[in-house]
Amino acid sequence: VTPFAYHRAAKINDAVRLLTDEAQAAILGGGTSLLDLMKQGVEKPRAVIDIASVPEMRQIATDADGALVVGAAVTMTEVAQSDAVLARWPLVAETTLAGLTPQLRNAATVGGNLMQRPRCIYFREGGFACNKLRPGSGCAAKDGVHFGHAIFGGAAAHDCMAVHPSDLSTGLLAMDASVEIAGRVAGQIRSRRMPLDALYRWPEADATRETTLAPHEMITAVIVPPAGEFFGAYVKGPPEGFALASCAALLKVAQNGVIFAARIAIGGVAHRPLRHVGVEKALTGQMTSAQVFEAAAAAAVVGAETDPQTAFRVPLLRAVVVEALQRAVERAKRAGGPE
Amino acid sequence: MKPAAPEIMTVAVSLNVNGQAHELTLDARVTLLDALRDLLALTGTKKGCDHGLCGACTVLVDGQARVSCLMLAASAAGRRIDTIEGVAAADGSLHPLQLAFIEHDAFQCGYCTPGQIMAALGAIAAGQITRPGDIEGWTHNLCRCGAYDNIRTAIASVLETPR
Repeated sequence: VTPFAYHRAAKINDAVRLLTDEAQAAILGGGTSLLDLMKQGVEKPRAVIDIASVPEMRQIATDADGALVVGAAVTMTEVAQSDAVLARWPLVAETTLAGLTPQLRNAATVGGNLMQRPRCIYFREGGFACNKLRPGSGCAAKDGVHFGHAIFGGAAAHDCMAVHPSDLSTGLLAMDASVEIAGRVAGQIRSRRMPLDALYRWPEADATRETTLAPHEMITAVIVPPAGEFFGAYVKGPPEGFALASCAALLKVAQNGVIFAARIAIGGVAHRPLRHVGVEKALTGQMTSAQVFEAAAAAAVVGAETDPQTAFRVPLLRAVVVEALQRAVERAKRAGGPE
Repeated sequence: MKPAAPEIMTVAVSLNVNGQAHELTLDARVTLLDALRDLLALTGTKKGCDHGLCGACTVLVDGQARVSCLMLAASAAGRRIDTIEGVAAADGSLHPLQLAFIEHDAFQCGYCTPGQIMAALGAIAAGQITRPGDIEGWTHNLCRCGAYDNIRTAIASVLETPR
Protein backbone atom coordinates (compact mmCIF):
# COMPACT_ATOMS: atom_id res chain seq x y z
CA VAL A 1 0.00 0.00 0.00
CA THR A 2 1.34 3.39 -1.02
CA PRO A 3 1.80 5.70 1.99
CA PHE A 4 -0.97 8.23 2.56
CA ALA A 5 -1.94 10.92 5.01
CA TYR A 6 -4.97 10.10 7.17
CA HIS A 7 -7.56 12.76 7.89
CA ARG A 8 -10.74 12.32 9.88
CA ALA A 9 -13.39 14.81 8.81
CA ALA A 10 -15.80 16.20 11.39
CA LYS A 11 -18.05 17.98 8.89
CA ILE A 12 -19.02 17.73 5.23
CA ASN A 13 -17.32 21.07 4.59
CA ASP A 14 -14.04 19.82 6.09
CA ALA A 15 -14.14 16.72 3.90
CA VAL A 16 -14.79 18.70 0.71
CA ARG A 17 -12.05 21.19 1.58
CA LEU A 18 -9.57 18.34 2.12
CA LEU A 19 -10.74 16.69 -1.08
CA THR A 20 -9.66 19.74 -3.09
CA ASP A 21 -6.63 20.75 -1.01
CA GLU A 22 -4.98 17.33 -1.01
CA ALA A 23 -3.68 15.84 -4.23
CA GLN A 24 -5.04 12.38 -5.08
CA ALA A 25 -7.40 12.25 -2.13
CA ALA A 26 -9.90 9.45 -1.57
CA ILE A 27 -13.02 9.37 0.59
CA LEU A 28 -12.99 6.52 3.13
CA GLY A 29 -16.31 5.21 4.44
CA GLY A 30 -16.40 1.69 5.84
CA GLY A 31 -13.21 0.78 4.00
CA THR A 32 -14.54 -2.54 2.72
CA SER A 33 -14.01 -1.57 -0.90
CA LEU A 34 -11.33 1.16 -0.82
CA LEU A 35 -8.88 -0.60 1.53
CA ASP A 36 -9.21 -3.81 -0.44
CA LEU A 37 -8.35 -1.97 -3.67
CA MET A 38 -5.45 -0.20 -1.95
CA LYS A 39 -4.05 -3.57 -0.86
CA GLN A 40 -4.38 -4.72 -4.46
CA GLY A 41 -2.48 -1.66 -5.66
CA VAL A 42 -5.39 -0.50 -7.80
CA GLU A 43 -6.14 2.60 -5.71
CA LYS A 44 -3.14 4.64 -4.59
CA PRO A 45 -4.46 7.72 -2.81
CA ARG A 46 -1.94 10.08 -1.20
CA ALA A 47 -4.56 11.27 1.27
CA VAL A 48 -7.45 9.37 2.83
CA ILE A 49 -10.38 11.36 4.20
CA ASP A 50 -12.38 9.35 6.73
CA ILE A 51 -16.03 10.46 6.66
CA ALA A 52 -17.44 7.48 8.58
CA SER A 53 -18.24 9.53 11.67
CA VAL A 54 -19.40 12.81 10.11
CA PRO A 55 -22.65 13.41 12.04
CA GLU A 56 -24.43 15.15 9.10
CA MET A 57 -23.86 12.04 7.00
CA ARG A 58 -24.96 9.54 9.65
CA GLN A 59 -28.72 10.28 9.69
CA ILE A 60 -31.75 8.49 8.34
CA ALA A 61 -34.64 10.97 8.06
CA THR A 62 -37.68 11.92 6.04
CA ASP A 63 -37.90 15.36 4.45
CA ALA A 64 -40.84 17.76 4.03
CA ASP A 65 -41.94 15.96 0.83
CA GLY A 66 -42.06 12.61 2.62
CA ALA A 67 -38.89 11.41 0.88
CA LEU A 68 -36.38 9.19 2.64
CA VAL A 69 -33.01 10.84 3.18
CA VAL A 70 -30.16 8.49 4.01
CA GLY A 71 -26.77 9.99 4.86
CA ALA A 72 -23.93 8.62 2.77
CA ALA A 73 -22.07 7.38 5.88
CA VAL A 74 -25.02 5.32 7.16
CA THR A 75 -24.09 1.64 7.09
CA MET A 76 -25.93 -1.00 5.09
CA THR A 77 -26.98 -2.73 8.34
CA GLU A 78 -28.38 0.53 9.72
CA VAL A 79 -30.49 0.97 6.57
CA ALA A 80 -31.72 -2.63 6.66
CA GLN A 81 -32.78 -2.29 10.31
CA SER A 82 -34.31 1.18 10.16
CA ASP A 83 -37.99 1.12 11.16
CA ALA A 84 -38.81 3.89 8.68
CA VAL A 85 -37.10 2.06 5.82
CA LEU A 86 -38.71 -1.27 6.67
CA ALA A 87 -42.18 0.29 6.95
CA ARG A 88 -42.19 2.51 3.89
CA TRP A 89 -39.27 1.56 1.61
CA PRO A 90 -38.91 -2.21 2.11
CA LEU A 91 -37.23 -2.56 -1.28
CA VAL A 92 -34.34 -0.41 -0.02
CA ALA A 93 -33.88 -2.75 2.95
CA GLU A 94 -34.12 -5.77 0.67
CA THR A 95 -31.33 -4.55 -1.60
CA THR A 96 -29.02 -3.67 1.30
CA LEU A 97 -29.36 -7.28 2.51
CA ALA A 98 -28.93 -8.80 -0.95
CA GLY A 99 -25.14 -8.90 -0.87
CA LEU A 100 -22.18 -8.80 1.49
CA THR A 101 -21.47 -10.70 4.68
CA PRO A 102 -22.88 -9.32 7.96
CA GLN A 103 -19.46 -7.97 9.01
CA LEU A 104 -19.14 -6.09 5.72
CA ARG A 105 -22.72 -4.77 5.98
CA ASN A 106 -21.85 -3.43 9.46
CA ALA A 107 -18.99 -1.44 7.94
CA ALA A 108 -19.97 -0.62 4.35
CA THR A 109 -21.66 2.74 3.85
CA VAL A 110 -24.44 3.67 1.45
CA GLY A 111 -22.23 6.21 -0.36
CA GLY A 112 -19.37 3.73 -0.62
CA ASN A 113 -21.67 1.06 -1.95
CA LEU A 114 -22.89 3.33 -4.75
CA MET A 115 -19.30 4.36 -5.57
CA GLN A 116 -17.77 0.87 -5.43
CA ARG A 117 -15.58 -0.13 -8.32
CA PRO A 118 -16.19 -3.13 -10.55
CA ARG A 119 -15.24 -6.63 -9.49
CA CYS A 120 -13.55 -7.54 -12.82
CA ILE A 121 -10.55 -9.68 -11.86
CA TYR A 122 -8.40 -8.23 -14.64
CA PHE A 123 -9.02 -4.78 -13.20
CA ARG A 124 -8.46 -5.78 -9.57
CA GLU A 125 -5.47 -8.06 -9.97
CA GLY A 126 -3.34 -5.69 -12.07
CA GLY A 127 -0.79 -6.88 -14.61
CA PHE A 128 -3.39 -7.31 -17.35
CA ALA A 129 -4.44 -5.17 -20.29
CA CYS A 130 -7.11 -2.94 -18.75
CA ASN A 131 -8.51 0.27 -20.21
CA LYS A 132 -9.86 1.13 -16.76
CA LEU A 133 -6.37 1.04 -15.20
CA ARG A 134 -4.32 2.09 -18.23
CA PRO A 135 -6.31 3.72 -21.04
CA GLY A 136 -5.44 2.31 -24.44
CA SER A 137 -3.98 -0.94 -23.08
CA GLY A 138 -7.01 -2.99 -24.11
CA CYS A 139 -9.38 -5.26 -22.20
CA ALA A 140 -8.05 -8.63 -21.07
CA ALA A 141 -11.56 -9.75 -20.18
CA LYS A 142 -12.56 -9.72 -23.85
CA ASP A 143 -10.26 -12.62 -24.69
CA GLY A 144 -10.27 -14.02 -21.16
CA VAL A 145 -12.79 -15.24 -18.62
CA HIS A 146 -15.81 -12.95 -18.91
CA PHE A 147 -18.86 -15.08 -18.20
CA GLY A 148 -19.94 -12.50 -15.60
CA HIS A 149 -19.08 -9.42 -17.61
CA ALA A 150 -21.19 -6.91 -19.54
CA ILE A 151 -23.75 -8.13 -22.08
CA PHE A 152 -25.07 -4.61 -22.74
CA GLY A 153 -23.22 -1.49 -23.78
CA GLY A 154 -22.56 -1.86 -27.50
CA ALA A 155 -19.24 -0.51 -28.72
CA ALA A 156 -18.35 0.88 -25.28
CA ALA A 157 -18.50 -2.62 -23.82
CA HIS A 158 -15.72 -3.62 -26.21
CA ASP A 159 -13.40 -1.15 -24.45
CA CYS A 160 -14.40 -2.30 -20.97
CA MET A 161 -16.54 -5.31 -20.16
CA ALA A 162 -16.65 -4.70 -16.40
CA VAL A 163 -20.07 -4.59 -14.71
CA HIS A 164 -21.30 -2.40 -11.89
CA PRO A 165 -21.73 -4.67 -8.86
CA SER A 166 -24.13 -2.88 -6.47
CA ASP A 167 -27.53 -4.37 -5.61
CA LEU A 168 -28.53 -1.20 -3.78
CA SER A 169 -27.99 1.05 -6.80
CA THR A 170 -30.24 -1.17 -8.93
CA GLY A 171 -32.98 -0.97 -6.31
CA LEU A 172 -32.59 2.77 -5.88
CA LEU A 173 -32.71 3.33 -9.62
CA ALA A 174 -36.13 1.68 -9.80
CA MET A 175 -37.23 3.95 -6.94
CA ASP A 176 -36.29 7.16 -8.80
CA ALA A 177 -33.66 7.99 -6.16
CA SER A 178 -31.38 11.01 -6.31
CA VAL A 179 -28.01 11.72 -4.76
CA GLU A 180 -27.00 14.83 -2.85
CA ILE A 181 -23.48 15.87 -3.80
CA ALA A 182 -21.11 18.29 -2.10
CA GLY A 183 -18.25 19.86 -4.00
CA ARG A 184 -16.22 23.01 -4.36
CA VAL A 185 -16.92 25.55 -7.09
CA ALA A 186 -14.58 28.57 -7.30
CA GLY A 187 -13.50 28.05 -3.71
CA GLN A 188 -17.07 27.86 -2.41
CA ILE A 189 -18.57 24.67 -1.02
CA ARG A 190 -21.77 23.92 -2.89
CA SER A 191 -24.24 21.10 -2.85
CA ARG A 192 -26.29 19.84 -5.76
CA ARG A 193 -28.78 17.08 -6.33
CA MET A 194 -28.99 14.82 -9.34
CA PRO A 195 -30.93 11.71 -10.31
CA LEU A 196 -29.05 8.50 -9.53
CA ASP A 197 -29.54 7.63 -13.20
CA ALA A 198 -27.20 10.53 -14.09
CA LEU A 199 -24.52 9.41 -11.62
CA TYR A 200 -23.53 6.35 -13.61
CA ARG A 201 -21.92 6.36 -17.02
CA TRP A 202 -20.92 4.03 -19.84
CA PRO A 203 -17.20 3.35 -20.40
CA GLU A 204 -17.50 5.27 -23.69
CA ALA A 205 -14.43 7.42 -24.48
CA ASP A 206 -13.12 7.02 -20.91
CA ALA A 207 -13.26 3.63 -19.18
CA THR A 208 -11.38 4.85 -16.11
CA ARG A 209 -14.46 6.31 -14.43
CA GLU A 210 -17.78 4.67 -13.58
CA THR A 211 -19.52 7.81 -12.38
CA THR A 212 -19.98 11.43 -13.42
CA LEU A 213 -18.74 12.80 -10.07
CA ALA A 214 -15.96 15.36 -10.39
CA PRO A 215 -12.75 14.67 -8.42
CA HIS A 216 -13.63 17.40 -5.92
CA GLU A 217 -17.12 16.05 -5.26
CA MET A 218 -18.58 13.46 -2.90
CA ILE A 219 -22.00 11.98 -2.23
CA THR A 220 -23.43 13.18 1.07
CA ALA A 221 -26.90 11.61 0.99
CA VAL A 222 -29.32 9.50 -1.01
CA ILE A 223 -32.91 10.71 -1.43
CA VAL A 224 -35.71 8.24 -2.16
CA PRO A 225 -39.17 9.60 -3.06
CA PRO A 226 -42.20 8.17 -1.23
CA ALA A 227 -43.03 4.71 -2.56
CA GLY A 228 -46.73 5.61 -2.68
CA GLU A 229 -48.83 2.73 -4.02
CA PHE A 230 -45.89 0.97 -5.59
CA PHE A 231 -44.93 -2.49 -4.38
CA GLY A 232 -41.64 -3.98 -5.29
CA ALA A 233 -39.17 -6.80 -5.16
CA TYR A 234 -35.51 -7.37 -5.91
CA VAL A 235 -34.30 -10.66 -7.34
CA LYS A 236 -30.76 -11.55 -8.28
CA GLY A 237 -29.08 -14.56 -9.78
CA PRO A 238 -27.27 -16.17 -8.07
CA PRO A 239 -28.97 -15.21 -4.77
CA GLU A 240 -25.59 -14.82 -3.03
CA GLY A 241 -22.44 -13.11 -4.19
CA PHE A 242 -22.31 -10.57 -6.99
CA ALA A 243 -25.26 -10.52 -9.34
CA LEU A 244 -24.84 -12.03 -12.79
CA ALA A 245 -28.27 -10.58 -13.54
CA SER A 246 -30.70 -8.78 -11.26
CA CYS A 247 -34.01 -6.97 -11.42
CA ALA A 248 -35.66 -4.44 -9.16
CA ALA A 249 -39.34 -4.19 -10.02
CA LEU A 250 -41.83 -1.68 -8.64
CA LEU A 251 -45.44 -2.04 -9.72
CA LYS A 252 -48.56 0.00 -9.10
CA VAL A 253 -51.44 -2.40 -9.66
CA ALA A 254 -55.09 -1.32 -9.85
CA GLN A 255 -57.88 -3.23 -8.06
CA ASN A 256 -58.86 -4.97 -11.31
CA GLY A 257 -55.32 -6.32 -11.80
CA VAL A 258 -54.22 -3.83 -14.42
CA ILE A 259 -50.67 -2.56 -14.07
CA PHE A 260 -51.01 1.18 -13.66
CA ALA A 261 -47.32 1.96 -13.68
CA ALA A 262 -44.04 0.04 -13.62
CA ARG A 263 -40.53 1.04 -12.67
CA ILE A 264 -37.92 -1.51 -13.62
CA ALA A 265 -34.16 -1.51 -13.18
CA ILE A 266 -31.75 -4.27 -14.09
CA GLY A 267 -28.27 -4.83 -12.71
CA GLY A 268 -25.23 -7.07 -13.03
CA VAL A 269 -25.25 -6.94 -16.82
CA ALA A 270 -23.58 -3.65 -17.78
CA HIS A 271 -21.03 -1.02 -16.75
CA ARG A 272 -23.89 0.76 -15.00
CA PRO A 273 -27.26 -0.21 -13.53
CA LEU A 274 -30.01 0.27 -16.11
CA ARG A 275 -33.45 1.76 -15.80
CA HIS A 276 -35.38 -0.19 -18.43
CA VAL A 277 -38.08 1.80 -20.23
CA GLY A 278 -38.71 -1.04 -22.70
CA VAL A 279 -39.74 -3.39 -19.90
CA GLU A 280 -41.83 -0.69 -18.27
CA LYS A 281 -43.71 -0.14 -21.57
CA ALA A 282 -44.33 -3.88 -21.95
CA LEU A 283 -46.04 -3.87 -18.53
CA THR A 284 -47.93 -0.59 -18.36
CA GLY A 285 -51.66 -0.96 -19.02
CA GLN A 286 -51.45 -4.77 -19.10
CA MET A 287 -53.05 -7.30 -16.76
CA THR A 288 -50.75 -9.06 -14.30
CA SER A 289 -50.32 -12.43 -16.00
CA ALA A 290 -47.59 -14.95 -16.76
CA GLN A 291 -47.80 -14.03 -20.44
CA VAL A 292 -47.30 -10.34 -19.78
CA PHE A 293 -44.37 -11.03 -17.46
CA GLU A 294 -42.74 -13.22 -20.13
CA ALA A 295 -43.19 -10.44 -22.66
CA ALA A 296 -41.60 -7.99 -20.23
CA ALA A 297 -38.69 -10.39 -19.69
CA ALA A 298 -38.27 -10.68 -23.46
CA ALA A 299 -38.08 -6.88 -23.67
CA ALA A 300 -35.36 -6.90 -20.98
CA VAL A 301 -32.96 -8.96 -23.09
CA VAL A 302 -33.41 -7.07 -26.36
CA GLY A 303 -29.99 -5.90 -27.54
CA ALA A 304 -27.99 -8.28 -25.36
CA GLU A 305 -24.66 -9.19 -26.97
CA THR A 306 -23.49 -12.61 -25.87
CA ASP A 307 -21.00 -15.28 -26.79
CA PRO A 308 -20.70 -18.89 -25.59
CA GLN A 309 -19.39 -17.72 -22.19
CA THR A 310 -22.15 -15.21 -21.52
CA ALA A 311 -25.08 -16.86 -23.34
CA PHE A 312 -26.53 -18.24 -20.08
CA ARG A 313 -27.09 -14.70 -18.81
CA VAL A 314 -29.97 -14.12 -21.23
CA PRO A 315 -32.24 -16.81 -19.75
CA LEU A 316 -30.96 -15.84 -16.29
CA LEU A 317 -31.95 -12.20 -16.82
CA ARG A 318 -35.37 -13.25 -18.14
CA ALA A 319 -35.86 -15.47 -15.09
CA VAL A 320 -34.96 -12.78 -12.54
CA VAL A 321 -37.25 -10.26 -14.28
CA VAL A 322 -40.20 -12.69 -14.18
CA GLU A 323 -39.55 -13.62 -10.55
CA ALA A 324 -39.22 -9.98 -9.46
CA LEU A 325 -42.54 -9.15 -11.16
CA GLN A 326 -44.28 -12.15 -9.55
CA ARG A 327 -43.02 -11.21 -6.10
CA ALA A 328 -43.97 -7.56 -6.57
CA VAL A 329 -47.54 -8.58 -7.44
CA GLU A 330 -47.70 -10.97 -4.47
CA ARG A 331 -46.70 -8.12 -2.18
CA ALA A 332 -49.25 -5.77 -3.72
CA LYS A 333 -51.94 -8.40 -3.15
CA ARG A 334 -50.89 -9.06 0.41
CA ALA A 335 -51.06 -5.34 1.12
CA GLY A 336 -54.74 -5.36 0.14
CA GLY A 337 -54.45 -4.53 -3.52
CA PRO A 338 -56.22 -6.49 -6.27
CA GLU A 339 -58.04 -9.69 -5.32
CA MET B 1 12.64 6.08 -14.08
CA LYS B 2 11.33 4.77 -10.81
CA PRO B 3 9.71 7.51 -8.74
CA ALA B 4 11.15 8.12 -5.29
CA ALA B 5 9.48 6.06 -2.58
CA PRO B 6 6.77 8.20 -0.98
CA GLU B 7 7.40 9.18 2.59
CA ILE B 8 5.65 7.14 5.28
CA MET B 9 3.10 9.17 7.18
CA THR B 10 2.33 8.46 10.79
CA VAL B 11 -0.72 9.13 12.88
CA ALA B 12 -1.22 9.17 16.66
CA VAL B 13 -4.16 7.08 17.78
CA SER B 14 -5.70 6.05 21.05
CA LEU B 15 -7.16 2.57 20.83
CA ASN B 16 -9.63 1.33 23.40
CA VAL B 17 -9.33 -2.43 23.32
CA ASN B 18 -11.26 -4.59 25.78
CA GLY B 19 -11.70 -1.56 28.01
CA GLN B 20 -8.02 -0.67 28.05
CA ALA B 21 -6.58 2.45 26.40
CA HIS B 22 -3.44 2.18 24.27
CA GLU B 23 -1.62 5.23 22.92
CA LEU B 24 0.12 4.42 19.65
CA THR B 25 1.93 6.28 16.91
CA LEU B 26 1.66 4.24 13.78
CA ASP B 27 1.99 4.23 10.01
CA ALA B 28 -1.39 5.43 8.69
CA ARG B 29 -1.54 2.28 6.55
CA VAL B 30 -1.72 -0.10 9.53
CA THR B 31 -5.01 -1.96 9.72
CA LEU B 32 -6.80 -2.57 12.99
CA LEU B 33 -5.96 -6.26 12.57
CA ASP B 34 -2.21 -5.63 12.28
CA ALA B 35 -2.29 -3.15 15.16
CA LEU B 36 -3.98 -5.71 17.41
CA ARG B 37 -1.67 -8.56 16.49
CA ASP B 38 1.68 -6.89 15.86
CA LEU B 39 1.61 -3.82 18.08
CA LEU B 40 -0.59 -4.92 20.99
CA ALA B 41 0.31 -8.65 20.88
CA LEU B 42 -3.38 -9.57 20.93
CA THR B 43 -2.96 -12.52 18.60
CA GLY B 44 -6.31 -14.15 19.34
CA THR B 45 -7.71 -12.25 16.36
CA LYS B 46 -6.59 -14.19 13.29
CA LYS B 47 -5.50 -13.13 9.82
CA GLY B 48 -7.03 -15.31 7.14
CA CYS B 49 -7.53 -13.77 3.71
CA ASP B 50 -6.78 -10.13 4.68
CA HIS B 51 -9.42 -9.08 2.13
CA GLY B 52 -12.63 -9.18 4.18
CA LEU B 53 -13.89 -12.46 2.80
CA CYS B 54 -13.24 -15.09 5.48
CA GLY B 55 -14.22 -13.40 8.77
CA ALA B 56 -11.30 -14.84 10.81
CA CYS B 57 -10.34 -11.30 11.90
CA THR B 58 -13.80 -10.35 13.19
CA VAL B 59 -13.84 -8.04 16.21
CA LEU B 60 -16.55 -5.82 17.68
CA VAL B 61 -16.35 -2.10 16.91
CA ASP B 62 -18.77 -0.19 19.13
CA GLY B 63 -20.53 -3.53 19.58
CA GLN B 64 -20.83 -4.32 15.86
CA ALA B 65 -19.03 -7.28 14.29
CA ARG B 66 -16.59 -6.08 11.66
CA VAL B 67 -13.60 -7.47 9.81
CA SER B 68 -10.53 -5.79 11.29
CA CYS B 69 -8.47 -6.36 8.12
CA LEU B 70 -10.50 -3.78 6.19
CA MET B 71 -10.45 -1.09 8.85
CA LEU B 72 -7.59 1.30 9.47
CA ALA B 73 -6.36 1.40 13.05
CA ALA B 74 -6.69 5.19 12.70
CA SER B 75 -10.41 4.79 11.93
CA ALA B 76 -10.81 2.72 15.10
CA ALA B 77 -9.54 5.51 17.34
CA GLY B 78 -12.14 6.69 19.79
CA ARG B 79 -14.29 3.62 19.30
CA ARG B 80 -14.64 0.66 21.61
CA ILE B 81 -12.91 -2.44 20.27
CA ASP B 82 -13.66 -5.86 21.71
CA THR B 83 -11.57 -8.88 20.79
CA ILE B 84 -11.69 -12.54 21.73
CA GLU B 85 -9.21 -11.83 24.57
CA GLY B 86 -11.89 -9.79 26.35
CA VAL B 87 -14.71 -12.31 26.07
CA ALA B 88 -13.90 -14.46 29.14
CA ALA B 89 -14.49 -12.96 32.58
CA ALA B 90 -11.63 -11.29 34.47
CA ASP B 91 -11.16 -14.41 36.64
CA GLY B 92 -10.65 -16.48 33.49
CA SER B 93 -14.01 -18.23 33.51
CA LEU B 94 -15.22 -18.71 29.95
CA HIS B 95 -18.20 -16.97 28.35
CA PRO B 96 -21.26 -19.23 27.82
CA LEU B 97 -20.66 -19.15 24.04
CA GLN B 98 -17.05 -20.25 24.51
CA LEU B 99 -18.26 -23.11 26.73
CA ALA B 100 -20.86 -24.00 24.10
CA PHE B 101 -18.17 -24.21 21.39
CA ILE B 102 -16.28 -26.70 23.59
CA GLU B 103 -19.38 -28.65 24.55
CA HIS B 104 -20.59 -28.98 20.94
CA ASP B 105 -17.13 -29.55 19.45
CA ALA B 106 -17.63 -26.52 17.20
CA PHE B 107 -14.15 -26.54 15.71
CA GLN B 108 -11.43 -28.73 14.37
CA CYS B 109 -8.27 -26.70 13.79
CA GLY B 110 -9.63 -23.71 15.69
CA TYR B 111 -8.20 -20.99 13.46
CA CYS B 112 -11.58 -19.50 12.56
CA THR B 113 -13.00 -19.89 16.08
CA PRO B 114 -12.24 -16.41 17.50
CA GLY B 115 -13.88 -14.84 14.45
CA GLN B 116 -16.86 -17.19 14.65
CA ILE B 117 -17.41 -16.32 18.32
CA MET B 118 -17.03 -12.56 17.82
CA ALA B 119 -19.37 -12.58 14.81
CA ALA B 120 -22.01 -14.50 16.77
CA LEU B 121 -21.66 -12.32 19.89
CA GLY B 122 -22.04 -9.16 17.81
CA ALA B 123 -25.10 -10.41 15.96
CA ILE B 124 -26.76 -11.71 19.14
CA ALA B 125 -26.14 -8.43 20.99
CA ALA B 126 -27.52 -6.45 18.03
CA GLY B 127 -30.70 -8.54 18.03
CA GLN B 128 -29.93 -9.92 14.58
CA ILE B 129 -29.83 -13.51 15.84
CA THR B 130 -32.76 -14.35 18.05
CA ARG B 131 -33.69 -17.76 16.58
CA PRO B 132 -31.54 -20.59 15.19
CA GLY B 133 -32.89 -19.73 11.73
CA ASP B 134 -31.14 -16.34 11.92
CA ILE B 135 -27.67 -17.80 12.45
CA GLU B 136 -26.84 -18.54 8.84
CA GLY B 137 -27.86 -15.10 7.60
CA TRP B 138 -25.96 -13.18 10.27
CA THR B 139 -22.73 -15.15 10.65
CA HIS B 140 -20.97 -15.82 7.42
CA ASN B 141 -17.48 -16.81 8.52
CA LEU B 142 -15.62 -19.45 6.61
CA CYS B 143 -14.52 -22.65 8.35
CA ARG B 144 -12.03 -24.60 6.28
CA CYS B 145 -12.60 -27.70 8.39
CA GLY B 146 -16.30 -27.53 7.66
CA ALA B 147 -17.48 -27.55 11.28
CA TYR B 148 -20.53 -25.49 10.35
CA ASP B 149 -23.15 -27.84 11.82
CA ASN B 150 -21.52 -27.83 15.22
CA ILE B 151 -20.86 -24.08 15.08
CA ARG B 152 -24.56 -23.45 14.44
CA THR B 153 -25.52 -25.86 17.22
CA ALA B 154 -23.20 -24.13 19.68
CA ILE B 155 -24.58 -20.67 18.82
CA ALA B 156 -28.17 -21.92 18.96
CA SER B 157 -27.57 -23.39 22.43
CA VAL B 158 -26.92 -19.95 23.96
CA LEU B 159 -30.01 -18.26 22.48
CA GLU B 160 -32.76 -17.52 24.95
CA THR B 161 -35.28 -19.50 22.91
CA PRO B 162 -33.07 -22.09 21.29
CA ARG B 163 -35.86 -24.12 19.71
